[in-house]
Amino acid sequence: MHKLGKNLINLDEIVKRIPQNSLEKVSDELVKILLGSPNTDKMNERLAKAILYYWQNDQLSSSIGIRALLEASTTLEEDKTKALLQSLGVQV
Amino acid sequence: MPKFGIEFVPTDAYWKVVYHAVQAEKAGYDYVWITDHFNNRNVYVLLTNIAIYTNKIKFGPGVTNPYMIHPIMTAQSMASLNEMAPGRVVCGLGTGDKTTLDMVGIERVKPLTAVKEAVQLIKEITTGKTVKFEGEVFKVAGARLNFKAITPIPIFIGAQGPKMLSLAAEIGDGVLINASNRKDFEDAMKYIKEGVEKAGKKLEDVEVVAATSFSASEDVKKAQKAATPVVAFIVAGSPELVLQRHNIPIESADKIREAIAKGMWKDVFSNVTPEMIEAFSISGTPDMCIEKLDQLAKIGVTLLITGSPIGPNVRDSINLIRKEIIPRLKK
Repeated sequence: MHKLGKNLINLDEIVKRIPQNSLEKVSDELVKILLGSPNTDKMNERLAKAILYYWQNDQLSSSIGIRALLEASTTLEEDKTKALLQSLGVQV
Repeated sequence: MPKFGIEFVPTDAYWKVVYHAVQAEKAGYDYVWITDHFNNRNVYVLLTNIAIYTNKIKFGPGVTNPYMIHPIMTAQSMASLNEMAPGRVVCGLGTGDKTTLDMVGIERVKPLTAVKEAVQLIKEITTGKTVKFEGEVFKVAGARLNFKAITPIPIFIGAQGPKMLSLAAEIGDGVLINASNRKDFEDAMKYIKEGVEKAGKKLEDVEVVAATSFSASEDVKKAQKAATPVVAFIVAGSPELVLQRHNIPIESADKIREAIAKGMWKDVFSNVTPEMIEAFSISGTPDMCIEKLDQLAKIGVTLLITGSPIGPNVRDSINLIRKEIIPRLKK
């Protein structure tokens, strides 16, 4: 379980709720959020390495890639991530 | 057909810079360069990560200097990287940024000699030789790496003035020129030709590199706005000769220098004129950028580096360069 605001969320469940045809767009938006975030000190070492690995291997739009991006973006930019998920109609 | 390089100044978190380096590889760039200043992230930490997360792009410091980092240490770093990514590692070497060296009290002693000796030292020691060297700037009593570079490491020399341009062409594998305007390269080519002739080489044996201040966007104003801070620092650091070449009044440059010294950033940026942006950057729409890059290629530049700021948003601009610029110039 992962903390998002006051809620505990299951990231795997959230990834499942993203429509297949939106995966690429969501991945793109999450990367945008992360690259634009000034809160780089909050980035988890494991996640930074995972994201770079998935990026290298063209897997950032896969379920596992989006999960890593989501985990990082909820840590660095909670509100923006929440807003993105809500805009997609994904309940959190 | 020109090659493409991209330069990053590691002022941001390592993973952002590496993300963009991977993006550059996917975009069709041939080289990624990381600048080397003590006050930014360490260049070799970044390059190590680039070695790990990329597969084919060439990479190196762009550029390191022999005053802050002893050439023996540069050789060690380059040979270590070469072990991780044989054939992909290049070494950019210059005399360093005076402002940064001044901060740590390091004087640029005999720059031509220092670069010449450093190149010799790096080349010799990376081949696994025991080096005894009695130079004017560097003295090595007897040094040897316990390993050697798997493949030769090309050395690109950062050059501005006539003597350094000639030396770089003579002893280097590439001449790396921090400029964006054809006028600078028309002038530089004379000295590059002198250098290759002196070494008995052909011009094709040397990579002529334009390390440009680059800013691409579909919105011209946004592109130029992004380039403004970089251009301000270039103007402030340019010698009179260069300012005159581009018809930039010395007084205008002085105003920018004074504002920088006082930290009055609004004044710094408001004193940057369209003429300065034209002279010291390639910024604008893809079509505008292509026109200028093509001019450089026609003069003899073989490797075009899109350097800082790259664009108003680095990720978007790399995507734009991938779609609109690289394919059209690599045709």
